[in-house]
Amino acid sequence: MIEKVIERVKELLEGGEIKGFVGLCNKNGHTAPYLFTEVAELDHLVVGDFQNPGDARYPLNKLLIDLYRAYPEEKFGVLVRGCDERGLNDLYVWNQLTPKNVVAVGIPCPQELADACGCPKPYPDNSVAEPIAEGAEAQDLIRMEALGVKERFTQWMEVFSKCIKCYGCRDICPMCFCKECSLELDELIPRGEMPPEIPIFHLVRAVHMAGRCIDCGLCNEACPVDIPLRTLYKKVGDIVYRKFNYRPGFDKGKSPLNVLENK
Amino acid sequence: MGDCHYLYGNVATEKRIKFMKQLLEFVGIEGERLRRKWVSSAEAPEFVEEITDFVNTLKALGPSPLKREQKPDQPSAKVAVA
Amino acid sequence: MAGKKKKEFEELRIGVFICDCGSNIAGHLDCKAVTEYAATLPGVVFAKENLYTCSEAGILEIQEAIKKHKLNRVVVASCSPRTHQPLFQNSCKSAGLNPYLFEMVNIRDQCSWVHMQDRENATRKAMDLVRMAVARAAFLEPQQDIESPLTPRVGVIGGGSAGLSAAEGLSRMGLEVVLVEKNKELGGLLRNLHKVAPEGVDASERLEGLIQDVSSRPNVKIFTGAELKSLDGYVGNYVMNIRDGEGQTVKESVGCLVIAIGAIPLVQKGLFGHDGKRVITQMELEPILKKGKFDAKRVVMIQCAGARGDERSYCSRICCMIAVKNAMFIKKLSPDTEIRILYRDMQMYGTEKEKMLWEARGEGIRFEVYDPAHPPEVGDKAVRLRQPLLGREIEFAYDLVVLSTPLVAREDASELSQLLRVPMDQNGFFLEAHAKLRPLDFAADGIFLAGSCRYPATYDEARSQGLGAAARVGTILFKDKLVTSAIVAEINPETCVGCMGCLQMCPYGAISYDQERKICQVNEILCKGCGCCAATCPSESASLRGFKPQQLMSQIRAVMEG
Ligand SMILES: Cc1cc2nc3c(=O)[nH]c(=O)nc-3n(C[C@H](O)[C@H](O)[C@H](O)COP(=O)(O)OP(=O)(O)OC[C@H]3O[C@@H](n4cnc5c(N)ncnc54)[C@H](O)[C@@H]3O)c2cc1C
Ligand code: SF4
Ligand code: SF4
Ligand code: SF4
Ligand code: SF4
Ligand code: SF4
Repeated sequence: MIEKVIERVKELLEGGEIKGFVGLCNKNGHTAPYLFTEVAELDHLVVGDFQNPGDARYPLNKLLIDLYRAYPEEKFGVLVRGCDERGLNDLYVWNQLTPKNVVAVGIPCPQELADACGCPKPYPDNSVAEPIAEGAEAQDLIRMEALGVKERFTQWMEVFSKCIKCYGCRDICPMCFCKECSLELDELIPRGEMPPEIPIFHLVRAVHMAGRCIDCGLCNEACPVDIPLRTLYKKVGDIVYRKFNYRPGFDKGKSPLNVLENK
Repeated sequence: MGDCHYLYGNVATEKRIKFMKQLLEFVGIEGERLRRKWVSSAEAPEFVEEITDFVNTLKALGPSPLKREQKPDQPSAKVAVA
Repeated sequence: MAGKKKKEFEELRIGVFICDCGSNIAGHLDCKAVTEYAATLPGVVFAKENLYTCSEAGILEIQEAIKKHKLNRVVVASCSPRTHQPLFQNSCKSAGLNPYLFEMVNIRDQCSWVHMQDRENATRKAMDLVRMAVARAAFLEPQQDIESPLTPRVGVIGGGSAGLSAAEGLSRMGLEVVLVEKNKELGGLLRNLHKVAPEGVDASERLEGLIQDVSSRPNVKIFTGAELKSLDGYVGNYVMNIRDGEGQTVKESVGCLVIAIGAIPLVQKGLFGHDGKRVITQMELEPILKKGKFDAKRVVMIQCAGARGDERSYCSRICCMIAVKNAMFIKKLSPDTEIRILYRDMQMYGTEKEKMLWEARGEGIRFEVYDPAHPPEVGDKAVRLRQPLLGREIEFAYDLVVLSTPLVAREDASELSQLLRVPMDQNGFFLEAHAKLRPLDFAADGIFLAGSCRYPATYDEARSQGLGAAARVGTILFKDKLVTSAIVAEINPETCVGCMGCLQMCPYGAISYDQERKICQVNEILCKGCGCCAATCPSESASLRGFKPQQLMSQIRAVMEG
């Protein structure tokens, strides 16, 4: 897989089509996001399958937004999985990136990862290879929904109360593109309270992600106290899909929650 | 619907309430604790009826689970639910 | 932001005034206790109970307290802000306090009136409301009203009775008028009418007078065979793009618009056997009467033809008068013609029309009621009717059947509605801002409506609505400048990321995207302060003045403290 990615990026860089490529770089045993601008550097390019597939994932799109803000005229390439491509689509919708400045180089995810993610589409449309896995069901969501209201309350409050308000979930989210965040607004989330007022803190963010979350699960991975945030956001996506027939990153335009129409 | 003083503000509200009810339900707060009803200023009896009914619903549900969870130094969490 | 800092250092000095409203409030709750309670609230340095806060004595007391106690916030707990807020705000202003630092609660409607039987709870609720108001007042910020220039010209769309009357009124008021008529000629429906009821004058005579008057006025510019193609700008500063009679595009700046495009009488082939010859509509009858020759000896008129049914549920209001008018003129031309009017119920509202109906009966015109479940059937030679009272079927042989069909909305009305961004009702008539309080206004500022495009109207009604709309225009254009409330949205350019979430939620098109700076911005004149943008913006970059998170949350948290 990586050979195909390198080949494609080389082509793009050599042809002068892109100014740089946002991917993952492995140096001295560490994997980190990196902006490749020279073909010679591509030896260090990896897709992030370290011990297990996809165990080194980063919100590369987020870096792309910063690049776009700094160099609005330039075109950059970016490494994407299925979810990242959904993210790109949705970032176009929210005017944070434009397709003409982006070349996506996609890789499909293996079944193992797709199952772990409960991912509806574990492959991008712009891909260097054919899909190798099928969409999987969100088991965690199904399990949570099967519980009674009281049980759900107990479980959520228990995990929410562990929150240390590190903002990791927000900082890593590729769809959180605000310059100032409501979660730091004193009137909503009083400063200095620990844990933050629950479940307000987590629900405020969930409401903000409605119609925007593209279900990448990075928030869940970032959370130092293992709050099952992906389950919460899968539910957010599920409500928006069932009530408003909209899936961020799949469907055109903003979600009906974010558009005022006259009906 | 459509009778909003601000044209379509109530349409936007309707969608959010729909969403919120489901989200609350998912985190274990009964969706019935959130209610939306259109009543115009000319519909006093409807308003009274609605409020009475809502109060009865809330009484039947019992105190909010958040209230039980409440620490005394955290009065503000009550804001979220009726 | 600088203002915000300054405020933090300013000592909060809130004055609270509790109104007894005679016994209206004090009769049902303990105003003294509420006043004492208010005095204990954080930031309150002065609390006073008044017999009538809105009386001269009450106002004076507020103004003196502002000066004497250096109040920088004023809260009044009394009646409805709808009626009294402007009064109190202006009083604060003349005492040197920014009117946006005033807050009002309604303890009459919301406490004493609704909880008349429960003094204790009414008092408690009044305390709750006062506590909330004080909490919010603490975070209020001074604001300046927004001012913009006005163009003292008016666009009138449609040159029928309503449009001509509006143009006449406006012109007489000294305002320049740009009249846009789609047809080659002015006059609208009245052009083809015979006489105008209830007075019974010649339609052409009435119309000629009006057209002459309007077209001879130097401050009226008339476009015929023309159409409004698009509209830019906002109240006080609209620009109409007109396609004139030659097909050229002309730009005209106007401050306000009056929409008077009328409606059209329904003609539906096959409706009750309509063929345009032996079965015709009232509109088709008018030119026949105008010619002055009438031979039919047996006439049957059918009311509510095509109206008040499943397809069109509304009543066109004017058709009953038209039928009676035309029946009476037939009698004048041909006294021995037998006329029957089959009706569901006669809408002859007002004394003049009522009188017409009596006279018509006196002249021998017969009225027969029918049941909508069994509508009359028009056969080749006769109309068959089931009389609901007797339950028997009778037949009326006829030479001519005349259908009283409703006025229906013009098909192109929807185009205009989109172009002006004004709403229509389910029947395609334009929808006024409020049926009783603002019948000639659209919700959009500076655009008014008159005549049959609003709802079927008689000539007199169309004319008075046209003149009324002209007067409404006057309330805006006879000022030096447009002053609008400062309670509008603002977008913080520092934090906005240009996601356009707010733009898509604004019902008034008040938000635009600045390509250069890649952020959104609010047009303060177009903004109505609905708050949709503020509720949508994920980063609180869009906010509504006077309703910022701090101001709202302080109030919400205060209610929970009770
Ligand atoms: C058969 C019949 C008999 C009647 N008899 C009587 C009676 O006896 N007494 C009485 O009081 N009333 C009577 N009426 C009602 C009377 O005709 C109306 O009250 C009157 O015409 C309403 O005036 P208006 O200006 O609202 O509309 P209209 O007269 O319809 O005028 C509208 C004008 O707007 C123009 N227009 C339309 N669209 C556009 C556009 N997009 N741009 C620019 N211009 C446009 C039209 O060409 C027209 O000139 C009768 C009506 C009918 C149908
Ligand atoms: S969410 Fe889907 S596309 Fe993204 S890493 Fe998981 S399986 Fe791959
Ligand atoms: S899954 Fe988490 S990190 Fe990914 S888009 Fe949704 S909220 Fe953001
Ligand atoms: S990452 Fe986890 S601990 Fe950190 S703020 Fe988010 S939910 Fe709380
Ligand atoms: S407050 Fe309402 S009208 Fe004003 S800009 Fe925001 S959405 Fe538009
Ligand atoms: S919603 Fe907020 S961040 Fe987005 S464009 Fe509007 S003001 Fe800016």
